Amino acid sequence: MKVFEVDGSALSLALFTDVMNSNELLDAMQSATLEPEVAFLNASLVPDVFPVLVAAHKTLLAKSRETLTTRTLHSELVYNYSGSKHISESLKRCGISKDSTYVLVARFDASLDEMKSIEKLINGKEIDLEELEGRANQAQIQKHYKISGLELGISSLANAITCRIAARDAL
Amino acid sequence: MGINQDGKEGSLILLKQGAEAEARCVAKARCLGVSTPVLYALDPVLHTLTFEYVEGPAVKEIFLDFGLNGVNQELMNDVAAQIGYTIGKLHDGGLIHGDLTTSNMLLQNGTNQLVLIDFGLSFMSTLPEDKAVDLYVLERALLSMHSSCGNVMDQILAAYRKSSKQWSSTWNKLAQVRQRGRKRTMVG
Repeated sequence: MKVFEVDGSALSLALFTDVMNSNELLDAMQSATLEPEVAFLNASLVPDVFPVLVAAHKTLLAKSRETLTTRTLHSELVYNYSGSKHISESLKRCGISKDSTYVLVARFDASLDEMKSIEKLINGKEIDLEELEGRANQAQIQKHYKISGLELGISSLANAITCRIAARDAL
Repeated sequence: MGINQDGKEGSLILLKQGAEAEARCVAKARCLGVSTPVLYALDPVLHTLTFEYVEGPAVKEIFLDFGLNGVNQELMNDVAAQIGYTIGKLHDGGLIHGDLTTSNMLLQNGTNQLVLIDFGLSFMSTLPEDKAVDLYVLERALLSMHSSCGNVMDQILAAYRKSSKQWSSTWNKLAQVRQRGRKRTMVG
């Protein structure tokens, strides 16, 4: 688990593989019984931490202006990671599904106790964030974000995602 | 921007009119394979764009240096080729930069990749007229600032010709534009 500073807030990120209880996690989240509140991201779409930080920045800004599009801060993080403005589609694609086994967990301003309890919630193996690059699904990312081969010639996958996250609402 | 970037370069915040339009043009340019700084954030309320800060000199500085200290021909050839190639890709994709000057082209440290900046005057167009004017602005800028560099524009156009599939219609228009200047209407 690692903590990043974004606009004065802390964002804790933890990466899990071989996750067996996505079903339960999803149910708990949807019935709003998940304590504490976290964001579950489809880690296959995350080649690097930076785009997540960019989405976090956008999320915090919306929160500070009380212009959240989704119901919670953490669902907003998942929504903002998407290249699409379509809310439910974005949450489905960038979040986890019943059969997700590779999950990136995020929480804003988490206390150490909260992070510990989150780690217990997840039935999986925690791995280092550095593994994100190697485990990312490039084909899936290219498809979801509509990244052409031409663009990859002048940009990394992470930067291409970053641009789309940043510019999404203008596109 | 308050993001702790852990070793990433700094960022540059710009207050713009038409920030959203510029963001769209930057995104479009990247899709076409044209290197631009990475867009990090767009604030719709403050109308600011936050970009990656690209480390490296503007082509203007490089050319001015050539003027003072002599031309490094190999570097000159590389830069001119990249300029022509890049504008060709942009134009074929229907994107006009709108302010092609050597101040808006950076050569990234390390990679020596040409990075185009400032899409604030950019617009979408497939008209040969608009492409020709885009090139003409660059030509005039080169003539006024960097005439001591020899004929860079020829090299740029040669690379443009190779990279653009719609070269000939643009070339014909460029000849016309050169004769009359940038603006279409000449009411005296």
